[in-house]
Amino acid sequence: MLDQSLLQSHFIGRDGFRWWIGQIPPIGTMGSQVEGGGWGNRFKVRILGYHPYSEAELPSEDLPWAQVLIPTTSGSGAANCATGVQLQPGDIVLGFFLDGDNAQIPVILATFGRTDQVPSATWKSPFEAFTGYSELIDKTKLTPSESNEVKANSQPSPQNISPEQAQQLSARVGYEVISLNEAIGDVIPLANTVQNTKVSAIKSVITNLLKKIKRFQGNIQKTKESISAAVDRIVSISNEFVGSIMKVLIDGNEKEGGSFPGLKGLLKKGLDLLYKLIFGQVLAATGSETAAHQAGVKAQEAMVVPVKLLEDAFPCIMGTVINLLKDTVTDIISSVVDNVDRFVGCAAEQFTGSLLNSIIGTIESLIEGPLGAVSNILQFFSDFNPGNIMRSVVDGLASVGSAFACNQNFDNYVGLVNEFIVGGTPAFDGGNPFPNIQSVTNLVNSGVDPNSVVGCFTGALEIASPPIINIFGGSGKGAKAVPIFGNVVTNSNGNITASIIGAQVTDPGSGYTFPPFVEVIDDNDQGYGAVARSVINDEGKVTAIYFVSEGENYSVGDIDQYSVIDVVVDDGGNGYGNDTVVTDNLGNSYDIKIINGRIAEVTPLNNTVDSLPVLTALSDSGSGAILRPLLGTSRFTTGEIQTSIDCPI
Amino acid sequence: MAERKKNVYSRQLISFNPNFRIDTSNPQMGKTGEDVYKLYGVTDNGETQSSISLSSAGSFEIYNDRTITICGGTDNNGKEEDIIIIGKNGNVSISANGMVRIRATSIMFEADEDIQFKAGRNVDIKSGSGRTLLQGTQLDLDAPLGSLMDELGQGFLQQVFAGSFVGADVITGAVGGSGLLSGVAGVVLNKVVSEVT
Repeated sequence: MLDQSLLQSHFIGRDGFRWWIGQIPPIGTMGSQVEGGGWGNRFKVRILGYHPYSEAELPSEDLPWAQVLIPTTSGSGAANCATGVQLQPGDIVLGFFLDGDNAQIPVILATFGRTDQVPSATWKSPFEAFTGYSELIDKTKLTPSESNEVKANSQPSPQNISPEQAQQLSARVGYEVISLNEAIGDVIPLANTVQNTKVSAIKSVITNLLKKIKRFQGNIQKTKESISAAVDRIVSISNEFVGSIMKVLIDGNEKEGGSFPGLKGLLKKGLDLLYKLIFGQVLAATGSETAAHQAGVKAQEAMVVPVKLLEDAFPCIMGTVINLLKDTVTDIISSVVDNVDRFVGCAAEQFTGSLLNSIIGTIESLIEGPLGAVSNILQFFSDFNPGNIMRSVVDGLASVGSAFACNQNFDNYVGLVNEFIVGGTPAFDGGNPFPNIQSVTNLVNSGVDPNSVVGCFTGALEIASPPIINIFGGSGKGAKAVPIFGNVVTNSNGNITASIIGAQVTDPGSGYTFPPFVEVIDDNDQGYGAVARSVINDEGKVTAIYFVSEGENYSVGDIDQYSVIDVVVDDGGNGYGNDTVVTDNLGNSYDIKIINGRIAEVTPLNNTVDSLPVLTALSDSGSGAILRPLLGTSRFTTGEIQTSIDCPI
Repeated sequence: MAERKKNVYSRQLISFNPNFRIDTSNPQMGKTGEDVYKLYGVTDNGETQSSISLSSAGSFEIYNDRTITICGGTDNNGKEEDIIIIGKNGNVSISANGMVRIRATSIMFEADEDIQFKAGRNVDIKSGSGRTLLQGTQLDLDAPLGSLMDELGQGFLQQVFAGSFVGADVITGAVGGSGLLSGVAGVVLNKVVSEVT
C-alpha cells in the first residue's frame, strides 16, 4: 500500500482514469444539501458496477457525494456568472473519479437525456428508472414531460390556441395540450364612435359566455357568476339603445330623413289644433272671438304643466328602463345558455331583436302615464302609437346620425376593424345587422317566434365543414377566394384534416385602396393557425392571397393539385450575385432576375406542391430577401402587384 | 398520411423546471402560426400562467392571468417620458370589460383631425376651481332636453309652446319650477313603475 502510494503521481490521469456511469438517488436522501444548507453542487450517486444494487446492502443515504462540473458557458458563480445545475433524481449521469483508481472522489461530468421510453414512475429500487418530479419539484399546469428528445411530442409547451381547441387536440395527440391563456379565441369588440357596434358587442359577450360555461363543466357557482356578469355587460350595452330610441321618440327622425316629427313636433302641432278646437267651440257657443281666443289660450296654458311633467319624466323613464331590463336580459341569456351551442350571427340578431322589443315595450308602459297627461293634445293624432314608432326606427340605430360636421372625412372611419380575436387576427363583424333586427323586433312583438320564420341553426355541427375565406376592409368590396388545402393528415379517429397553404382568388373585387384583411373562418372552431395576407394591383383588385402560416387541423374541402404560380418579392435583399439560387423546402427550383444586387423577380418552374413552400435564396454574398409563394391553378394576369400588407395585430 | 411537416430539429428549449421555460422555434401551431419564441411561466398551483411570445405570422403577444404592471421612469425627472406606446402606422386600441381609468396631474388629448367621445349613458365634464371652455369655430348642440337648452330657449317645453299663445312668462315660470315638477313627475313615474312591475 505504501509502495503504491509512493508510486502514485497524484496528478489527474497519470494514476489511472476511471470513467463511471451512475444514477442519482431519490431527493429524500440528499438531506440538507437540497434544503438550503448545502455545500457546492453535490449529489449522491450510485455508480453502476461499483455500488451494490441492493438498498439493504448500501442505503442511498450512505452513497458518496459527487461534485458536479459546470460547463464554461455557465459560469462558476464568480462575478455573478452562474447557471443553476438542473440534475434531477433518477438521472443517469456520466462521471469520473478525480482520484483515479482510489475511486473515492466522484465527479459528475454530464447526464444522459431521457427518452419517452423511460417510465416516469416513483422510485422502486436502485438503478431502475424513476421520475424526476419530487416533493421539491412538483408538477404544475405545464404538460408533464420527462424526455429530452428531438421529437414533436417532447416537452410540449402551452399552445396559443383556445382552451376548446386544446381539448380537441389533446384527444388527437394523446397527451394534455395546454392553452396559453383562457382568453385566446375570445372575440373582443373594439371602440367605434361612428358606428353602432352594440350587436357585435352583445355577440361577443354571449359567445365568450358560452365558451366559459363549457369550460366550467357544470360548476354551478361559476356558471351563475358568469351569467350574472354577462347580464350586467348587456344591460350596460343596452344604455345606448334606450337613449337612441328615446331620442327618436322625443326629437323625431326628420333630420335623418324620416317622417316622424317626434313628440316635440306632435305636441306643438297638437297645441295649435287644441287652440282651434276650443276657439271654434267657444265661438259657436258665445259668438265672441275675444272669448273664444281667451278660452283657446287658457286651454294651451293648461297644458304647460302636463308637458313639463312629460319632459321631466323622460330621463327617469330611461333610467328605469335600464333598471327593469336586468330580469329580461337574465331570462333571454338563460334561454340562450340552455338552448344554444353556437351563438352565430343570426342568433345575435334574434337576441338583440328580443332585447329591443323588450326595451320598447318597457318604454311604452312607462311613458303611458305621462302621455296620458297630455292626451288633450295627442287626441288629434289617433294613429299615434309610440311602440310602432320606436319599432320602425330600429334599423336607423346603425347610423351615426348627424354627428359629422361637413368638414369631417367619413372615409377615415370606413373599414375600421370592429372585432379582434384574442391570440389571433382581426375579424369581420358581419356588417350592419339592424335591418334584420328590425324584422325580428316586429316578429317578436307580434308573438311570432322569429326562428320559425328565419331558421337560425345554433346547435352543434355534426358534420365538420371546411373553412371559408372572408376578405374584408381595404375600402373595397367583392373579393372572394377559396382555400387551397395541403399537409393532409388522416387522424387516428379516421378524420381527415389539413393545413391551408394558399387561396385561389375567384373574384378580385374592386375599389381596394389598401390590401384587405383575410380572415379564415372555421365554423367548427377546429382548425387554427392559418394566417393570410392579400395583394392588390393598381386597379384596386385583389390579385392574390398568400399564407404566412398554413395552420393545421382544418376540415378538408376539395383537394386538388396546386402549384406555385407566382412569387411576391416582399424584400429583394441586397448583395445577390450570379451564384444565387432560389429553391424551397420541397426541392423546387425557380428562375430569378437580379438587378443591382437585389432579387427583382422570381418565377416558379411549374412546381406542384402539397404543403406551404418556404422559399430561400442561397448565395455566398447576398442576404435579406423575403419571398412569398402564391399558389393556384393558373397564372394571374390581373396586372402589376402594387403592395402587400400584414394583417394588423 | 403523415403529420404536418414540422421542423423539430431547429427547436431549442431550456426548461428550467415545471414553472418556467424558454422555447424557441417550436413547430407547434398556434392561432397565428408556429412559435418563433416563447417565454412561459406558471405558478406552482397552476392558477396563473404568464407568457411572452412571437409567432411565425409576426404576432407578438403578452399574456398574464393576473395583473400586468408596467412601471417606468423611477429616476426620470418630471418632464421626461416614462412610458411611450407607439402605433407606428395604424390604430392603438384599448379594451376593458370594466373601466379605463386614467389619472395624472394633467391629461392632454391631441388629434390632428377629430376627437370623439361617445357614451351609452352619461358624459360628465367637470372642472374644479377653474373654468370649462368649449372653443372652436363652430359650436353645436343637439339635445331635446336639459337646462342648457332651456337657457337657450330651446328646451322641450319652449319648443313645444313656440308659436302658441302661451306667454313666455308662463313658460319661464314652468321651467324655473322644474324642481317641483320633477318631484311630481317622479311620483307619477313611480306609480307607473309599480304598476308595470
